[in-house]
Amino acid sequence: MSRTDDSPRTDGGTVSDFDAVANEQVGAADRRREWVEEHLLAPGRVLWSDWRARIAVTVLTGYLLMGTVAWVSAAEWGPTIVPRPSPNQGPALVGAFRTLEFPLGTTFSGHSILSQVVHATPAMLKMIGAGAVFTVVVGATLGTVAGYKGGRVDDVVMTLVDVALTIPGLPLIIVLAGALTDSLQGNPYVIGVLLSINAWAGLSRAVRSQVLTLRGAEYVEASRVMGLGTGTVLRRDVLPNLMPYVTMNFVKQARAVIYGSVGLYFLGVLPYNAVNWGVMMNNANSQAGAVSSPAAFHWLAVPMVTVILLSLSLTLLAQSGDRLFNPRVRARHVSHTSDAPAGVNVDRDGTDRTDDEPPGADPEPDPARREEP
Amino acid sequence: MSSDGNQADVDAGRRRLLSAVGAAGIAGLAGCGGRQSANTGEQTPEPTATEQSTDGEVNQEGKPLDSALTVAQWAVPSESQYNVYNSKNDAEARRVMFDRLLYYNLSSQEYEGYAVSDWEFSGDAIDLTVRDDYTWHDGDEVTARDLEIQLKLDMYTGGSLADYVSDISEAVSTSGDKTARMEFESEVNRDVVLAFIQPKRFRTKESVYGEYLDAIESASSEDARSEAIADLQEFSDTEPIGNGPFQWEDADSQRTLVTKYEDHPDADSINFPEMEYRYLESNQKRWSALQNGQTDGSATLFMPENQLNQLPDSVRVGLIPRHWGMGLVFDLEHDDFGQRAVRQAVAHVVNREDVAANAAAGTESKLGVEIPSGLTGAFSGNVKDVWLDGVADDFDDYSFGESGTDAAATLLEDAGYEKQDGTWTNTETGEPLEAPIKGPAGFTDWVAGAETIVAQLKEFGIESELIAKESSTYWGQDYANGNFVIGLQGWANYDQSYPYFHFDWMYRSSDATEYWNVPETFEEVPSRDGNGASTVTPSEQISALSRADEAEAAELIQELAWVTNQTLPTVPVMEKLAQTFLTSDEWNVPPRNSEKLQTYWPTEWLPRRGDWTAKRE
Repeated sequence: MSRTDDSPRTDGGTVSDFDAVANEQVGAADRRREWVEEHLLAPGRVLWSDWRARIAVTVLTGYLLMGTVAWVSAAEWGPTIVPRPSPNQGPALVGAFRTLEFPLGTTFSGHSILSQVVHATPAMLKMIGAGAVFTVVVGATLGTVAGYKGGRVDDVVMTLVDVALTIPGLPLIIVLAGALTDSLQGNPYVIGVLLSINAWAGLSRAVRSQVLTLRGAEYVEASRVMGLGTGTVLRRDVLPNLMPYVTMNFVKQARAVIYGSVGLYFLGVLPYNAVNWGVMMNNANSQAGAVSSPAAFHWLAVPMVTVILLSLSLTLLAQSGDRLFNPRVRARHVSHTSDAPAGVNVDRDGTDRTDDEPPGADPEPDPARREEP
Repeated sequence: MSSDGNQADVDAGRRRLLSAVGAAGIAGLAGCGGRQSANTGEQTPEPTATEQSTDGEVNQEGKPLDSALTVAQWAVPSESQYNVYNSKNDAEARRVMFDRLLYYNLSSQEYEGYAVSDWEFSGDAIDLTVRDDYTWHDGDEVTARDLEIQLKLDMYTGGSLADYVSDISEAVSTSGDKTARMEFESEVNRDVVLAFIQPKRFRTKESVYGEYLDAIESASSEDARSEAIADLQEFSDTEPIGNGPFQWEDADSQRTLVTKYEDHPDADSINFPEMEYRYLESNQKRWSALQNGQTDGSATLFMPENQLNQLPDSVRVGLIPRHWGMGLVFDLEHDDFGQRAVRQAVAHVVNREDVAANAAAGTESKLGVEIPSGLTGAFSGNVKDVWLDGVADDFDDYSFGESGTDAAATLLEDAGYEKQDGTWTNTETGEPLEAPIKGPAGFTDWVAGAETIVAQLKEFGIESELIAKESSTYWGQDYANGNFVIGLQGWANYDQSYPYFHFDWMYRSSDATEYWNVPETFEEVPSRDGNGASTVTPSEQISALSRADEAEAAELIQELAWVTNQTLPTVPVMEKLAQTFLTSDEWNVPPRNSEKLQTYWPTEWLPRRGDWTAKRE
């Protein structure tokens, strides 16, 4: 049942290939189940088998939950689970863990710190997500294309990268923040992208060098020889090998956006108009000198812990993500429950093929792939 | 040291304070400062420091416990310079190296002589006499010519006194070594003139600044004159020759050192050899410097309650009225906020007492403006008992002490707005009423107050948000380009207490005309007796005020206050008291509630008067 056979009957076998395929046919529902199995459950199990991931996922779920709570509370249709922060919600400067009404304490103006932390979450997550996605998409795409295509494309892209790399990041961000103040207001996505404005360049370079190695690998060459399109080869053969590195960078950039935004809000460089963890810390320091004041320390500590926890869980997730992209590990988890017939694997586009076919973006382990330097 | 910060206590403190001041009785138009007992949180009188003598004699025996009186400065000491016309890095040590022309006594609300020991108005001129036995630090006599240079350079570089003279080069003349005469174009309001002259610091020694004045006056064209003025403004005076009780000694990256000048007329009042100005560039650093004894005092510094509680017992805190505070300024050409009714609605909705309490961070240093009228001095009852004596009830207090949402709703409905889905909307355009408020992020007390304003406006149904920007960006770009709908700005003239200056600031300053777009005339201003309305031109009334005698001035001030109260070109939100800090462990300083603390810049004046002396071994 090779794809290259023109006629099902050329080998003179008693059972037609058509029948064989029909017997083994994988229906749409199976494919969906397979997809879920392969893309969600298996990675989930891989992750869960690692203690770091367990902590990270739990904490991150907490943050997502917090964001959801804020979103529901702020929406008109939803119940107010955590009220929006407003001045004079409570008495001034109640300490943390003193009252049930203000479990994390209050600020000088009587804002509930719990309200502030929770309601700052959606914007922070959007900002972090935007910055990290922007970096990874731009960085990995440009790096992969440049490395794989080579030649003029490589020259042009790498020149761009070099330019971006040589511009000092922080001053650039500060200058841009000053110039773009109006469009920055209240738009966490733009701020996220701004904070990552030249972070993609480093990733591009690194990815390119990896691609340069990979493109010479036998299985990639094989794919090329078979006439697969550039896009397909990149998507199936090259990118999966880069994923651990790319994910690490996603997380790294997410952390950089957290620190960057908090730092810049703290310094007052970014204009702000909403509650924000960095702004909270800034207020705690400037309005009450919280660093040196036990009475106001909770005001500084709560957002600080919030930032640290988020950052820590992202780091843990990235560390455990290495296993996630190790095809061998993942495949083992898939095969545990998969009821796909032995020897037949389902490719992404649903075509079935045998083991002797050149490997595509195949969850089956492939020795060649793991031998990269 | 301070009240424990809840709202009731703040209110009680205020009432106590007002009644105390009311009982003392404030009278007289002249000084117009304010007085109030220093810190009302302190109930038991404190024993006056032991060695403080009453007869003016300062103990010069033995060794001082601390040889240097240490305070803070903002500019990097080694980059500081002391040419007042060069706006950069004119550092704090100027306060003891140069003397002010006059002293203003906040308690008695009177001017007293200082570098200018005597002054006399005669017709439309004033004669100023320089103090006797008064020398520059290089030993040269301080002369009337030095004073002439000072007064003229001030006017050439934009000083407001220039508005009252016809030709600057002719306006000031000297007769003899000690007397300078300044002639005005016509009769002037003497309070205004003295208020302009008093805060000036005497800085222009002829041997240093004479050439700049000559260059300006001998310039053949306008361009040449501008160039000469620019030269003056670029001159950097890093090792100045002063005339104050301390002379310049040294400056490094961390501190400016000045040493006592024994020939100063007040040298006998000072019994320590040095003053040190430490480079402490943030409030937080200044707080901890006072807490751990690195500095011996601070003339004005905002310190929240939790930090006050960490001060050692030896630190005394006084409160001094500043006749200034945060207000809301509008783009008066804005479709919504250009309308008087909308601004009035904002004034009703904003609970100014709440805003002040939140901005004060548990201290008693802020007071909500009771009657928005452009008049200051509410801390001492000046607004109601002096300026608006007997007529205060005619004025609108815009729901003081509450959120006047009903009154605001009526105003907005009459102005063509309607509440749709909880948001006030212009019925004609269908656009929601949006009130973005921009402010400087570094002014943290303002930010805390503005957060409260935003919350109150939102609650009422006006879409509002606070856009806090890095302070220099806000002042340099947003504010200076008029790029705001509502902005945060002081509503009164800093460092002045006479109402003329506040009205001048609100209607005639370049800020008002260029950034807030304050119109020349206001139409249909209701008259005070309730009959009809008229068109008013405040700038004309302000001009008249600058030339009025006392009785006319009182009437004009009420008129202008009325116009301001009705039109609200700005919404005055709060008025502040400056916190001032003195330490008593190594120093003899007046008790907390002493009237001696009632002076702007106690760190500058108390040592000169023998009221801040070193304890001796």
